Amino acid sequence: MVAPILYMIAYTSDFASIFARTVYNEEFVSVFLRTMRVGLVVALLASLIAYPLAYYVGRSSPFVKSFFKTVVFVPLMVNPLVRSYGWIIILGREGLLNSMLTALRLVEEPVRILYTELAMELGLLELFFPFMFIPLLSAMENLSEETLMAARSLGAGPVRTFVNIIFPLTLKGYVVGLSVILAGCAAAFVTPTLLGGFRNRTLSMLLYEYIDIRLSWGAATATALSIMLTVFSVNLLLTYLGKVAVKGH
Amino acid sequence: MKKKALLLVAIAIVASASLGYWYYVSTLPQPPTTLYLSHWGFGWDDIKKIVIEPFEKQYNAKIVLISGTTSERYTKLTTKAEPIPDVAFFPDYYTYMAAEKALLMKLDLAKMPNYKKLFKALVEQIPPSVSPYGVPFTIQDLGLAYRTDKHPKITSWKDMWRDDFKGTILMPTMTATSGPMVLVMTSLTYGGTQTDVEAGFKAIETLKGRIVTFYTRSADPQTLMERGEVELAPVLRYNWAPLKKLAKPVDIIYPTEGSVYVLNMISIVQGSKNAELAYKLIDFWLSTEIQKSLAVAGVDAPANSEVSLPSDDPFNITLVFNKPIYLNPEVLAKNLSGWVDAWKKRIES
Repeated sequence: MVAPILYMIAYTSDFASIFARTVYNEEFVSVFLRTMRVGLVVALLASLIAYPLAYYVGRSSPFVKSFFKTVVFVPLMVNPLVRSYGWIIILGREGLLNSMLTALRLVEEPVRILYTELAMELGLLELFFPFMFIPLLSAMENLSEETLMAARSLGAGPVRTFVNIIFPLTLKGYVVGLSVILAGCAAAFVTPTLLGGFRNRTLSMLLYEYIDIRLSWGAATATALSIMLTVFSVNLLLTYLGKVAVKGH
Repeated sequence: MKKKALLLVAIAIVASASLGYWYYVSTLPQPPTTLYLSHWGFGWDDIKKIVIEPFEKQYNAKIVLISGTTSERYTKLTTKAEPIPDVAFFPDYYTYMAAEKALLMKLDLAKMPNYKKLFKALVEQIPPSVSPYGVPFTIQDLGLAYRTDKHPKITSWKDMWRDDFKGTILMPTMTATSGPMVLVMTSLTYGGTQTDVEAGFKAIETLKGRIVTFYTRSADPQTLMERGEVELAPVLRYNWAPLKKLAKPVDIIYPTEGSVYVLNMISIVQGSKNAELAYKLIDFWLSTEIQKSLAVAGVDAPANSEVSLPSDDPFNITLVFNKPIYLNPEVLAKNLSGWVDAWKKRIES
């Protein structure tokens, strides 16, 4: 992964000034911030759903575990392009969601969801949710029931139990899930293009534009390097924060 | 004696087998010559039936399609991505750009007798920097498609700014064929020129909040109209037939301000090893019979002046062309890069 980018950098004359020109401009900053924003929203939504679900499934019967594992894993076998088109049918102006909202008279006119950041976030959430759920489920299955009972018997409520016991013990799994989601959202192309459109470009769409539309190879290399550096930095930061949080407990 | 007889029999068997094999190989049909075509792929089912299959049969050829948007295929051509096409289909301003990079062969018009049948008015306006490198096979003029069940009639380019189209407009990206055409058309409507398009940018900026999304692919206008996502879109003539076939009622108008158009051209890529066959394909494509069949199927309006179509046929360009405005391909090509950057920053952001 690193070698092609390093090759392109070596091949591009005056790369430093091209990098500076590409990155220090309003368009890039706007696209970069959107990519980070989308990644953080998807990570937050995935956390809010995956944590309670993984806790419940981790403590359930083998049948319930199998059921939820199947429900979460099976979409992974479907091509992301097909899944994105599925979202188009659901979120479109005449799609399933708008049909339900207008039939129930919750809205007077169909709501614009497709070709917005929200549509992109929903599509990416569905795409990357398994990668948050799987490590969290594994961590939850290793949680000792005796530890949780001890916390309850000592008077800890649900919030305190989560903050002082569950979260620290599942932190490693959570960090793995966060890293995959943030890296995936930075690099995803098909889902943001189909659901967000060219109005809501992310870094990967900008990269495609530089290569295939603007024929600007230097700027494309600079963008690819930015994606790589961002993903590495986020991973390092999360790993460091995870270690600090565990040490603190 | 016995040994000599056996030897003679063996020689006879080997000789007969060799003769038989040589005869078999010499009577085998020649394998077809493969010709790579770089084309949008839009309407390919009809094109295959009307043009490709008859050509393959007549000339013992095998046509392989390399499809994609104009900018994708142009990028592949500049980077010599395999397979390198023999024949390339581009709008005229991309033909100019490719010719400037020495990617296209200078054409020998004598090898394409059907070239003489093309509309003189179309051929004579092509700048000398473009004309040696491509032949026009159709025109793409810009119209407005809209849902007739949801909106009152439109007649003017300025109708795009009507309040009833709020949040229902589809626009092309600047690198779609229609992208620069939309910008220039808006510029001309609002007092600008083909080269000074600031008036066009300013006008489209006021539309920003009403645009649903931007399209790159030929099929996007009809896909999004069919799904009800958009109700108004600038479209080119190739969209006419598919839009009219939709379940939703759609009409296409050519605005009172005029119809800007570009010419789609066929070229032979520099270095093609099958140039002779490529010439035959181009001549075949320009023939009266093929051009008429493509027009009747709703694929492309004919550039061949001998094609006669009913007066109410939308592809009869002699009669439905309202105030034609030819966009100079050199002007479009030279300004495209700057317009793309400005469009991304001012309109698509």
